[in-house]
Amino acid sequence: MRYATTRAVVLSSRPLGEADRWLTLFTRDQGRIDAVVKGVRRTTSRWGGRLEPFNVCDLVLYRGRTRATVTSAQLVDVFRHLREDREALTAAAVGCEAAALLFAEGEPEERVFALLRSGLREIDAGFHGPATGAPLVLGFLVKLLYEAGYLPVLDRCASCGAGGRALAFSAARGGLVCGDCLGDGVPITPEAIAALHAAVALPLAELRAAPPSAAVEEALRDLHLLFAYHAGTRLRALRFARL
Amino acid sequence: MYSPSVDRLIKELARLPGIGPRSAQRLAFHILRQKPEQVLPLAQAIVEVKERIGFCRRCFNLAEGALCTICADSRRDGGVICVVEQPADIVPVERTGEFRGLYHVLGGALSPLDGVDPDDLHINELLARVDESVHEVILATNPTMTGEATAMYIADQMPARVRVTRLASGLPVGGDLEYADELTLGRAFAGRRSLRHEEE
Repeated sequence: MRYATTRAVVLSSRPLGEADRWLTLFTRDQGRIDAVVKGVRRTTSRWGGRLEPFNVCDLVLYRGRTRATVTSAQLVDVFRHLREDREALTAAAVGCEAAALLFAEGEPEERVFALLRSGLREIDAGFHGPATGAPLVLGFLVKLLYEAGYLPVLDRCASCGAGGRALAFSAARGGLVCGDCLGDGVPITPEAIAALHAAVALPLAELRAAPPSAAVEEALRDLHLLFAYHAGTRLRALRFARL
Repeated sequence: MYSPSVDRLIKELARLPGIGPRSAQRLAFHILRQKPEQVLPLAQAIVEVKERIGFCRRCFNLAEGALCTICADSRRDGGVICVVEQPADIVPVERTGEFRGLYHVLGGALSPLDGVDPDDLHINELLARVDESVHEVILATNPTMTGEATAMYIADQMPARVRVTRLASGLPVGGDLEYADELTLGRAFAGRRSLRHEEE
């Protein structure tokens, strides 16, 4: 089938040629895919703002020999608040950039699609404080890491398996490490460990209502190390947020 | 496959935006077929533009000196500044003939997805320009996610006494309502204006 219909979150969009754009999409049926949309940058374009980042659309894609082209788009969800608030924009960018980097192209990941959509919806509904200290952003990233198979080990030492008190966080070993296995780990406070536990256990809707804190920011910094270790790059959205 | 100089020409042409290897090859062979007097002006124009054109020290538009032709024009209204993303965005605004103020080119738009933050743009220079003589700043960044975010950020930074406006969004002249997308039509409704009020 050269034509396929799918629902997708627009993860990012880059100018291509004179008036086209190169989109990175996370589709419900085919996972992450890249696609071209023709003429979208012209003011007379029939696409309008439908294919802007963070929108959810029903798309018809034409699969060419080397790339997919969007031939039709209907808007399903548009998160207006994300365009009006710098912290919300940053939070959405963290989730979308992480999804683009964590998941291989063309692998169906329906749960990730649902997670992205619900994450964007919660961010759009508003959260407390700066994005870097918001439990919602920490939860969004940790749940994406879980779906990618990189959930940090939080209940024992990730190196020797011993229980007891964790003293550091090691990206290379995949989570908390004990005093005997410190190695390259960075020190972590009990409050940051508690923030990570909450981020894993609580749904995004509950995390949205939780207040921001320095412990969440510390936990996000550590989790970002784990992300960078597996994805091979750091998140530009967190550089934007000056984390 | 070709001689080194032809290979180099193809490689250099392929670095231009929108030019792939095939197009580069086609352009290279077109250049080779032309007489020297037909193609050397192109080479000279490229050298000249790189030697003589820089950025205006005030607005960051392209300039052939310290100031661009717009900033150097004393007839322009210095009380209004139109903020755009790129120098190319000035051209369509000038074509309208509706604007007689000055410009400020940001050099891009805020984009967390690309890691472009306020320090990467000429936002501080804009804030420094907005002195007592400036009474309005028009934000003419693109109506995209990044353009909107940039406009919101700048609006927050502006002194309260300055009027900050944003270009209207709506239906293109000559367009058909039936084909308008939901976002544009929504904006058009939100930004509708009273015809009766204007008559009064």
